[in-house]
Amino acid sequence: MNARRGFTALLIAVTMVAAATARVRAATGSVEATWKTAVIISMTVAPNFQSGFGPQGGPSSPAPAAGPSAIPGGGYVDFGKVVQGYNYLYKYAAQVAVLTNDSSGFQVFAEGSSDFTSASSGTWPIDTTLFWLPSNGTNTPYAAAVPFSKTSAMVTGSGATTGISYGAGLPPSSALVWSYAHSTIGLPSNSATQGYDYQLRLSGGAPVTQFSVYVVYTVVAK
Amino acid sequence: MKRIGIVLSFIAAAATVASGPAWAGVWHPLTQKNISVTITVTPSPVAYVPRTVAQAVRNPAPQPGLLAHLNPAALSAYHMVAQAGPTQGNVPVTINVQLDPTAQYLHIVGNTTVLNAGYGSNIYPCAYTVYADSPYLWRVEDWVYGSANGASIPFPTYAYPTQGDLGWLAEGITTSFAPFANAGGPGEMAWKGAANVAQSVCVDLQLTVPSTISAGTYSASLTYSLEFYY
Repeated sequence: MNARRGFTALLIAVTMVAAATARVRAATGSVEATWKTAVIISMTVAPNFQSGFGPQGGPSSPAPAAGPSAIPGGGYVDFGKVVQGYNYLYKYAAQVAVLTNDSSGFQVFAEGSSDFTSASSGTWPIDTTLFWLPSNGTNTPYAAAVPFSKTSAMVTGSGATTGISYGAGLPPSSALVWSYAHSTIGLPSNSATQGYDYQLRLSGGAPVTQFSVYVVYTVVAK
Repeated sequence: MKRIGIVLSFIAAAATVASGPAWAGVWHPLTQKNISVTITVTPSPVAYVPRTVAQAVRNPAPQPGLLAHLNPAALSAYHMVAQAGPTQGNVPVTINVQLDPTAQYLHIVGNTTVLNAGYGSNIYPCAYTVYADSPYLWRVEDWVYGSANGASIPFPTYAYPTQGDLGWLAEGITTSFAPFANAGGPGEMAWKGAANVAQSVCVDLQLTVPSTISAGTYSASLTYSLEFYY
């Protein structure tokens, strides 16, 4: 009787060991995990981003000074009083900072939300008046520069929230101001930055009044 | 008789003075204005002959990932998908335009100052208008930014003695395009006028883009100087 009980116990033990071994084998199976990585991209735009910002004149133009709406790191790109018929260069007008994890990089576009507008004298064309060029110590009021254009897309918001809706499309290629081909992860602050000077080419026929316009920057992942 | 002679001599002297140029005066600078033009040279069309759709289908670009973006259903788990909307920021810009006190003598109104150019010869009628006037006999001189010392100055102006690729024609005054003087000031006389006779002159530009120039953006700064004779 004892021998039978002992044999039964041994049989159960062998069975349990076998079962346990089988479970260990099942735990070594592999699983294929796939996922989609969502691109993170964000942008900030800072006017008057560096000390020394403000307008400069050419050799024969009256000396300009930044207007009261220009404040360090914000406010307006305020050229102040500018005289008909002269060119001006606004140093350190705007800095664009982009953060993205997209290894293909991004593109930044910029357009005027409108022409220059005034309360008393209607509008004045932006595309023959306001130009941009990457910030550089050698820039002058007469350096090669690219004009901003008035957008043909729908303008949204107003004032500080002024934007442009491109719907399902992209801004026009002519509005491209910066193309960057890498992720910014790992850079200082995980962002790439680019500064811009603005150039004003004021026609001799420009009306004597105060004009304003919003330049809208748009970043798009590549 | 002697008195009549004195009067006639005075009248003759006065007439000589009034006629200006015959009097031994000198030219004085009155004011100077600049205008900049931006030149965008577009690539040679030969390099951009588009393929037909049929050609593209037969020879697809070797980047199926790009094609997949055209069809969301074709996206695999390995494609990176941009978030829904781009982000934006804006910069407000303001200018307070003041009257130019010397505009009554000389000013320039730009009409076409962004010059889109292909390779070869490009002409821009009335790119800008120059207005000039003076109480005395006057002349307008012009030059494009350049140098007489042969400094390395790029397309389209270059530096004297290399001739620039940008030419001008004053409508109603000159009849053929001439390259801008590029040896610095005082440049060349463009046209002149009588005292108190204002002129508004349309200036046509001609830009010749040689095949050695890369596509891109260039600039030229044109200076006009008004002088009067007294």
